[in-house]
Amino acid sequence: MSLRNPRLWTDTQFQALLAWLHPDPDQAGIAYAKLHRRLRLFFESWRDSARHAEELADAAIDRAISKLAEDPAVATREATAYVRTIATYILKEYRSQPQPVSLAIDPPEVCASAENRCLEDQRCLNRCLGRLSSEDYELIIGYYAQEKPGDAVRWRKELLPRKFGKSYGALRVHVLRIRRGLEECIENCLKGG
Amino acid sequence: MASPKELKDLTRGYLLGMVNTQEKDAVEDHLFGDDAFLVLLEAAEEELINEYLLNTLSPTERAGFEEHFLASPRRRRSMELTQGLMSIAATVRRPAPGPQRRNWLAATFQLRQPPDIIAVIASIVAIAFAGLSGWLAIRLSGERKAASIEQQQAKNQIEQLKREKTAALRHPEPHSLAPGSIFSFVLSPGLMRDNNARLLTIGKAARTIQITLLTDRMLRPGRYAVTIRGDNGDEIWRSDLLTHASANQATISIPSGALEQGGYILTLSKVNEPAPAGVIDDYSFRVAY
Repeated sequence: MSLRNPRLWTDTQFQALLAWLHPDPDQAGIAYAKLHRRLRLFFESWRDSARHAEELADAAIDRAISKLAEDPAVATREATAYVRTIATYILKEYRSQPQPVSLAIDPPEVCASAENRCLEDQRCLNRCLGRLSSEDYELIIGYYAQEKPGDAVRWRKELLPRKFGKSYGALRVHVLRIRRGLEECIENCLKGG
Repeated sequence: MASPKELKDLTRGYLLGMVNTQEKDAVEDHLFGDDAFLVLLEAAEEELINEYLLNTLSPTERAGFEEHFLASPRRRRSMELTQGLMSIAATVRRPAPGPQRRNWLAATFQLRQPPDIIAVIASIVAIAFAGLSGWLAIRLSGERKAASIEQQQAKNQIEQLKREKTAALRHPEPHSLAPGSIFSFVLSPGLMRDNNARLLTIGKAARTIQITLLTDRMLRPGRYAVTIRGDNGDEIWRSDLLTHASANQATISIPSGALEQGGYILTLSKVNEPAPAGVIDDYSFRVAY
């Protein structure tokens, strides 16, 4: 998730958005992150806007902050539904601008070990995996282990939940959370962090 | 209201760009209105990526995945992450080599017998074993002797491992690993000064470090924990998921990224028993890459 541009908004204006999303400051941060994920998925659902989904999601939130700053009465409306409407307008504006010719997307290839980028990715993945707790490490590695493709479903839905004492649904949510953490860690690592 | 299966199909269609406008709106109503649905959609993304990499998508879905789903740079990065995790998982969970022995009993029941005959045969076998177990109960005193022989064998195994360790220390070899390999080593208990601590030269491509800990004390059934501290005494790794291999050894696996170059002290202890009673053994080693 990209950070808010500190040059565009004051801290007060940003705090106003958070308060609008949730009165509890701790929950407001979570609500903000969820809103950004929703907006990103929304823009990714269209092939033409998918490549700029992150930036468009940011633009939707920027406009919401702007509207709230102009007219505090906006805060009486339901935040998520309001921001969704903004996103729809932003999508229309995006499409009305001339777009580069849409090139076919090359099918992805398995990352060859000779490529420097792939080696960097693997190095960062290894480092980030090393920072996981042992339980998270066992879980995420166990989740992606299978002997044959047909085993994966049974392994994930029956055997792995039994091993960790969780339901399949809870296990999947936990895996998604670990993945989000890994993605953030890898991104920072690739930037030299 | 859509059933769970209909919602799941709708979700997949949404992600693959295979829904009409009305269906799209319905999905987005859920997306912006329901926290649980947000998680469901993200889980469906992860599931599609898995299926694509395992080559289990239908041709139509595969086309939708490549032409629509992967238009997003974030999803491409997510897929690369999954590829990396699958690659690591494949090396950690390599299947055991060697031919599998066929059990004569399993082989018998693999003959095509009708189920009722199998049930009769199974009952006869069960009765026979019940009688046999009564006879075996009389021989308990003999088992005690067998247990002490087993203990002696375990001690012999430890002595053998120690001899191998000594030989390795005399003739240390750089360990060269194929990419993605597991790096395994054996530690004997005892704390030594830095220069005398066991040196482990780990290849940069190693993903997992597997440590077998020999113990002087017998390991009773129960849960054990391993703590690794750095030179400055700070705890850098802890696990209580330990494989209890036998009476006098235990094995753990840790990601290689957890150990930077330097000296470490590893403590093996029994869970829920405070130190010093709970501490089984301490081990020292050094890591170099």
